[in-house]
Amino acid sequence: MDELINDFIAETRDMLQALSGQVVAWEASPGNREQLDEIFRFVHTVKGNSGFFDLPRIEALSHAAEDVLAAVRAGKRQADAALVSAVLAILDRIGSLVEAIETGESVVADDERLIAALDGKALAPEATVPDASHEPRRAARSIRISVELLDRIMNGVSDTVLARNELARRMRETASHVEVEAAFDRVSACIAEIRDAVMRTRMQRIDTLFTGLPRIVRDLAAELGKQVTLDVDGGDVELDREMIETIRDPLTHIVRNAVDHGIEPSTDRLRAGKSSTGTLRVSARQAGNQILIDVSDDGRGIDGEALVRKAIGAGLFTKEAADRQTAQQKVQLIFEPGLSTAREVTAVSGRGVGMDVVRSNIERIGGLVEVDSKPGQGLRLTLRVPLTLTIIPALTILSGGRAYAIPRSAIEEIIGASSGAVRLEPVGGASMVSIRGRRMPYVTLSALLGADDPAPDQTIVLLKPAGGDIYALGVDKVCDHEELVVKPAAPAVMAAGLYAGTTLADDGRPVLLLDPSGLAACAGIDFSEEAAPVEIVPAAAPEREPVSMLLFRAFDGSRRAIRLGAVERIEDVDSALVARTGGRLRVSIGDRIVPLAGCGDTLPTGKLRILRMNDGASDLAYGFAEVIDIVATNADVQPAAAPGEIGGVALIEGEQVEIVDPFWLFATHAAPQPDRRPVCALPEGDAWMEHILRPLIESLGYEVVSGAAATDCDIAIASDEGAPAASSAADIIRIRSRPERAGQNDNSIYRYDRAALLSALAAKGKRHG
Amino acid sequence: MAELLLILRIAGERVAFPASEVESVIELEEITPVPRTAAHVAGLTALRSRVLTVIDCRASLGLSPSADGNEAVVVPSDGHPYALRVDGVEDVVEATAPPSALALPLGSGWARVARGTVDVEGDLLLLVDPHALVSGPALMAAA
Repeated sequence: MDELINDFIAETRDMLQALSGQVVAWEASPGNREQLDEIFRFVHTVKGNSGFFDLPRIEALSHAAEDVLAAVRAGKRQADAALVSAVLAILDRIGSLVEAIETGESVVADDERLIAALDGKALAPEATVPDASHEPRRAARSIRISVELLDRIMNGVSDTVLARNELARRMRETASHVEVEAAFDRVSACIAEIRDAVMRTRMQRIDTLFTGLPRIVRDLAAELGKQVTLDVDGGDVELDREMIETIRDPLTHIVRNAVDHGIEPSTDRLRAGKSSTGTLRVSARQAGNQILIDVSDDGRGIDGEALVRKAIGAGLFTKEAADRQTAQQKVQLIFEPGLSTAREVTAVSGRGVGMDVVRSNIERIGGLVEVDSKPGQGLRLTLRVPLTLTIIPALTILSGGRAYAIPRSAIEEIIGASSGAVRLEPVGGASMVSIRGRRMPYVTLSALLGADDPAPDQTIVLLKPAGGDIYALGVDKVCDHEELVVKPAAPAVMAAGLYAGTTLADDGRPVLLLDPSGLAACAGIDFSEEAAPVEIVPAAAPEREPVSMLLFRAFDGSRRAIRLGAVERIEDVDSALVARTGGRLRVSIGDRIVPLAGCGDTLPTGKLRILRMNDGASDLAYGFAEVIDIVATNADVQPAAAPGEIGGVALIEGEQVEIVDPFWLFATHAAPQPDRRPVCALPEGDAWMEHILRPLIESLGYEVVSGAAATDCDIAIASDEGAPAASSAADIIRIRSRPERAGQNDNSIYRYDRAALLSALAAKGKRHG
Repeated sequence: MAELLLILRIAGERVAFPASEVESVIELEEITPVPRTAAHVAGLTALRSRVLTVIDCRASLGLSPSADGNEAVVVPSDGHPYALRVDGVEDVVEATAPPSALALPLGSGWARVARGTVDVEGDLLLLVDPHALVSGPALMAAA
């Protein structure tokens, strides 16, 4: 409201100022129609506005003046000098009343007398109360200024900043005087301050967005026969003007949706045990360089199942695919085009503008829409938008010798490709990268931009675009973090789909701001796991026998398949049985240790599912997250670019599936295993052996027995003080407790000589294995 | 009211732009290429604090892009500033007569951008719409 009344004050003041010339002209020749019309329009406008703002004194004055002027216009009255001065007195009074609203003072004067004067009654001299506060009128606290002028100022400041940067660079190059540098620093500080101030002029209270909401909610609730209380909070948060305009429509849409679809009719609410009046809360707050706008209601929430039914009906995905969706994923369907839970399209929300449009509008300005639905209890939508459109923190990078910028908000991590934590894996011509066990698609920026071969040592930037999943982008070099003034690029440039805007580097060269989700789309990375159905596999090779494949989801979420014949069985094991031993993951199953593949390098947690495979000689376990299905398929398998865990990719049920190569798995993972583990005997009752040595021996794959049980063992350990535990042992390793040998023939090993112990155990173990 | 015309050379031909559409004439310095855009988008260049999109007029006419030529005409179009790279800029003249409609069939590229012919000091020149050059061949075909 404050915002509006300020507008009213400013507008009235502007009009009065513009009118002052007309007033003088009218006074000189009261018969002049043009001036009369002008003044009439003014009082008419003021009358309307003051009625709206509930300003009875101004309304009464302007109303009276309008009546008189209307009579003059209709020729019923003559504009004589008395009438003119009475009207002018009213204009002056309106002016002082308007000023008084702004300064918060009161004007003590009798309006009735002014109004009476209009009717030709004698204008008795007013008993003027000396009003000291009237004299020194407070200077106007705000002025109205066109956005275009602001933009010009902004451009000028940007130019200045660039010129300053240029100067700074020149000064670095040439040894300059200390005093010159001090002066330069002062100029820099001033420029920074001006830049901040100009930036702030673009900011506007978010109130301007919220003022319209009560009316919208009231009208809509009345139309639908619902009872809704609106609760607005945080109107003093400031936001870039243009940003406010971009948010206006999406916010209105969300609010209308909440009243239309979210909040139930009173009778339904009472039946559900809620109060008959629904509550809608709209609040804004600032978090870092983001503004969060929450719209929450206590209505029925989103019916995920209904959305899924609709999605299936619309052919977006199959029932099987739908069953795998989590509750959260189902709710996310409201962002799919063409899906709405409303049973019937109402005049209110069914205007073809869906949540998909809301989301794309918000994402266009670098924002996010989050949904939190509690069925039966309500829905909360959160719009996260950056503070300003114009300045964004970004990372500048080099690719093909050119600088580009990436919005900081999308960057998860930066890591060198040669780092030990990074493993590149070519898959069917494309590349995946696994970073600390997390596998994600990998593309190089040079390839995306069609540039020359990427520099050999790429730096990997992990990007998580709004609404998408993480992927890795290889760039030649990472330069710097900068705050960039970003401007929209020309349509022909935006058409490439890769860029979010342009900006200028410090040296005045244009730099393109990359759009992380555009890059992903261009690279063909499809984040939606249940992507739109790809065309059905053509029946190109009918002569081929369909093969049964086990379709499963791997730990990294990818869909994989393996020939069913290669799988012995599927087992659930506790992840506690998985250990990293001897440089790789192994799982103990019963009395055996089986190499575990499929988990990358991370130890899985919780329950673990494994495929048991056997090639006749050795066992192999392949960990995965869940079984999807068993399918018979004769789909073409595209071979992978290089041999590996994934032998190729095929289209199964309309989706790309990685085909696991059992040949490679066995060749790589399953060195022939002995049928039984070698047994190592320890002397009984030796606490050091039992507690300190035993774990080391066990970690090498030995079964450790002690004392009496040691009848049939491969290796026996003996201390230099005692006899070996079992005399039947083929080999005996003697251990001494002192570092130095006892004599020439002493072939014992010092007990803390780890290397010697390991090599002895390994050598003897091999002989028996 | 005599219209001012900017006479320039594009793809070897002398043509005229309505001077009212032209903001300034600049010397192009470095052009930052924009990968994966239409052929007529030569790249970006900076004019003080503004980023201009450089349009290669030859490419926009469907001809092979020009390698050289560093003169460009700055034209704001649809809220974005563009630099139209031309072979050369000659002069600003006052049109002696209003442009007349095209009476002759032109090559396809020219037909798309020409708005008529003007008589300048006895020579018949094509009056070219700079905005059509900005749009480029692809967008026009889609429209």
